[in-house]
Amino acid sequence: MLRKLGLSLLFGGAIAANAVAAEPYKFGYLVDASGPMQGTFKATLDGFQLYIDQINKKGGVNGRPIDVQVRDIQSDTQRSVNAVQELATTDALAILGLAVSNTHAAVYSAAEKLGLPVVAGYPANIPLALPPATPNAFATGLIFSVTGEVAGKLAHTIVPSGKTLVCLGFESPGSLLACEAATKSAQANGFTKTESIIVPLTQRDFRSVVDKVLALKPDVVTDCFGRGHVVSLLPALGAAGYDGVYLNMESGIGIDALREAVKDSPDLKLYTYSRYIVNGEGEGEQAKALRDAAKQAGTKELLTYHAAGWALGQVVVDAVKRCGPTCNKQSYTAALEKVDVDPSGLSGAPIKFSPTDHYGASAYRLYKFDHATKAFSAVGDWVQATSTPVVAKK
Amino acid sequence: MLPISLIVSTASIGIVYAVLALAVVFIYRTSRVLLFCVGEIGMLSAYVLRDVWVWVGPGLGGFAAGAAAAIAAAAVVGLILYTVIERFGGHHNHFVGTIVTVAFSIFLLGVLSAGWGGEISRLPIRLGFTTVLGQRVPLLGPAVIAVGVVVLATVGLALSWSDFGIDSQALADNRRLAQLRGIPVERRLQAIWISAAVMSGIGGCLSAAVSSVSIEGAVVGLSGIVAAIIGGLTSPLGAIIGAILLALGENVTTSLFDARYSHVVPVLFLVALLIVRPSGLSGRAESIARV
Repeated sequence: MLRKLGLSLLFGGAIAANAVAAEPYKFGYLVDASGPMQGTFKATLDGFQLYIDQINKKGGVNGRPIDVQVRDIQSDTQRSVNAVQELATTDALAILGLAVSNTHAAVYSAAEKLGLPVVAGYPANIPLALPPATPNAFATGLIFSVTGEVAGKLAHTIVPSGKTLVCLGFESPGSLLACEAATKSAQANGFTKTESIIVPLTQRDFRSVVDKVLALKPDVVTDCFGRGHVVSLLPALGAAGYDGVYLNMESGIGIDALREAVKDSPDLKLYTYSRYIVNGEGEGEQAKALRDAAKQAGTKELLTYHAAGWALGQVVVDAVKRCGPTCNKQSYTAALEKVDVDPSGLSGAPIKFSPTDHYGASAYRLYKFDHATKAFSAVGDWVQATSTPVVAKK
Repeated sequence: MLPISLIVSTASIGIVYAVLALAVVFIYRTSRVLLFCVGEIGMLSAYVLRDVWVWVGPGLGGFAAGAAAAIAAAAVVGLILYTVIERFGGHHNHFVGTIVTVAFSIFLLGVLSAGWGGEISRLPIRLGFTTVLGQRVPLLGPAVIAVGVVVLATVGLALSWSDFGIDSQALADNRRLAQLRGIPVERRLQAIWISAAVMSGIGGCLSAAVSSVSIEGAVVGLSGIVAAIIGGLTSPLGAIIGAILLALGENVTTSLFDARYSHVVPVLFLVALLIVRPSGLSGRAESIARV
C-alpha cells in the first residue's frame, strides 16, 4: 500500500512538474487587422508568427512553447486599452505589436498601470523608448524622429544640390514627428525651403494635395505614410507630371505596393529607405532562416514587414531566454533591458536595449527603383543612426 | 490663375459625391430610411470591378466585364438589403430601417476585410493626360466626370419619363395613395433599393478610380450622406448642389489652407445649414410634412 502511494506521488509529481514545464510563455499582440491601417500593420504579425512558429517547432524556449494571443484593435485607442486590460488577466508577460501611433501613449500608460512591458513592433513607434526611456516602453520599429532625421540626410545624398523638400504626412503623432524631423534634418543638410503637408488619416484622393506639392517645385518629396496613402498618392503625382525624386519611408508600405503605384509614372524617380531589408535580399543567418520559413509557409514575396516581424520575434525570445523558466512580467521587463540581438542580414545594426535606452542604435538602407527591371536595388551601405535625434523627445 | 487640375478634381469628386448622394435621396424619399451603407456598397463594387477586370485582362473587354460584375454585386446587395429591411418591418418603422443599414455597413466592412484582407490597390486604368492652356490635366478626372454625368442624366431622365420614375415619385409623395392608384408599391420599392445600391456601387467605383480600392475608401459614403442632407434629403437637384458645394469646400480648403481641415468642411456645412436652413437647400422635407 505504502509502495503504491509512493509511486503515485512520484508519478504525480513528475506529471505536475511536466505540466509546469509545458506551461507556455504568454504574450499579447495588438494589431490593426480590420481597421483603417490594416494594410500597414497586419503583415508584421505574419513575420513575427513565422519566427515564433519555428521556435515552437524546435520545442520552444526552456522547454516551454510561446503562446501569442492576438487582439484586433483596429487602430482604435479604446479597443487597444480594453485589449491590454483583458490580456493582463491572461498572465501575459508583455504586450507586443501595436497599431497606428495615435494609440501608443494610451497603451503604454494602461500597460504601465498593470506592470506590463510593451514592445512596439514595426512600423510605427513613439519616442517613449528613446533615452531616457519610459520604464515599460520598448520599440523595434521606426521611431519617426530618428527615421525622419535619416530622410533629411538621404535627401541630400540623392540630390546634393537640392534646395526644396516637401514632406507629406498624415494626422498621427508619429507622422507629424517624422515630417518635423525630416524638414529640420533637410535644412541642416543644405535644403533652404522645406514644407510639411499633413493630410487626414482617411485621405485617399490626393489630386488637390498634388497640386499644392507641385506649386512648391520640390527637388525631393518625402513621406511618412501608410500603404493606402502611398498607393493613392504616387499615381496622382505621376499623372500630374512630377518627375523629381520621391523618397519613400518604408513604414509598412511594401515594395509590391510601390512597384504597382509607379507603374504608369516612368519619369518619377522613386527611392525608399528602410530599417529592415525590403525584399529578402540580405546575407546572414537570420535572413536565410527567414527565407526558409517563408518558403515553407508559402509566402509569395518577402517584404520588410516579414523581416521586421522576424526581428521582433528575436527580441521577444531573447528576453524570454534571459528571463528563465520562472519568468514573470517584472523579470521579463528586466530581461528586455538586456536584449542584445543580431538580426544578421535583416538589418544593418544589432537591436540592443539598456536600462535607459529601449530602442538603441538603428541602421537604414537606401534603395532605388529601376523602372526597366521593376526592382529595387540597394544604394550604398547602411546609414547608422543613434537613438538621440536632433528633434527633441516629445 | 486657378489650376485647371483643381477645377477638374473638384468637379470629379463632386460628381462622385452626387452619385452617392442621389442613392441616399432615392431611398430616403421613398422609404424614409437613411442609407448608411452607401460607401461600403461602393467599395464592395470597386473590389469586384478590380478583380474581374484584372482577371479578364486589361482593355475594354475587361472593363466591361468588371463593370457588369460590379453592378451585379451592388444589385444583389440592394436586393438583400431590401429583403432584410422588409423582414424587420423597416419600411414601416424608419428608425429600424436606418439601423439595419448601419448594421449592413458594419457587416459589409467585415465582408470586405474577410474577402480582401485589407488589400489596397489601383484600378487598372491608363488614360494618360492632355494639356489645356499650358497646364497638364490627367484624363482620369474628365473621364470620371463624363461617367458621373451620364449616370446622373440617366437617373434624371428615368425619373421624369419612365413609368418606373413616375411611379417612384408618386410613391415618394404619398405611398398610400400610390397603392390605391394601383401602383405595385412593393415591386417599385424593391427596384428603388436595387437602383440605389447600383448607384452606390457606381459611386464607389468612381471614387476608387481617382484614389484607390481600399476598405478605408468606404468613408466616401459619409460625404455622400452629408451632401444629401445639405440638399434636403428629398431633392435630387439639392443633393447634386450639396455634393458640388461639399467638394468645392474640401478642395479649396486643401489648396488654400491646410488639407487637415478639409474634413471639417462637411461639419461646418451641416452646422451652418442647421442654423440657416434646417430642412436643407431644397426645403422639401418641410413641405412634404405639411402635405
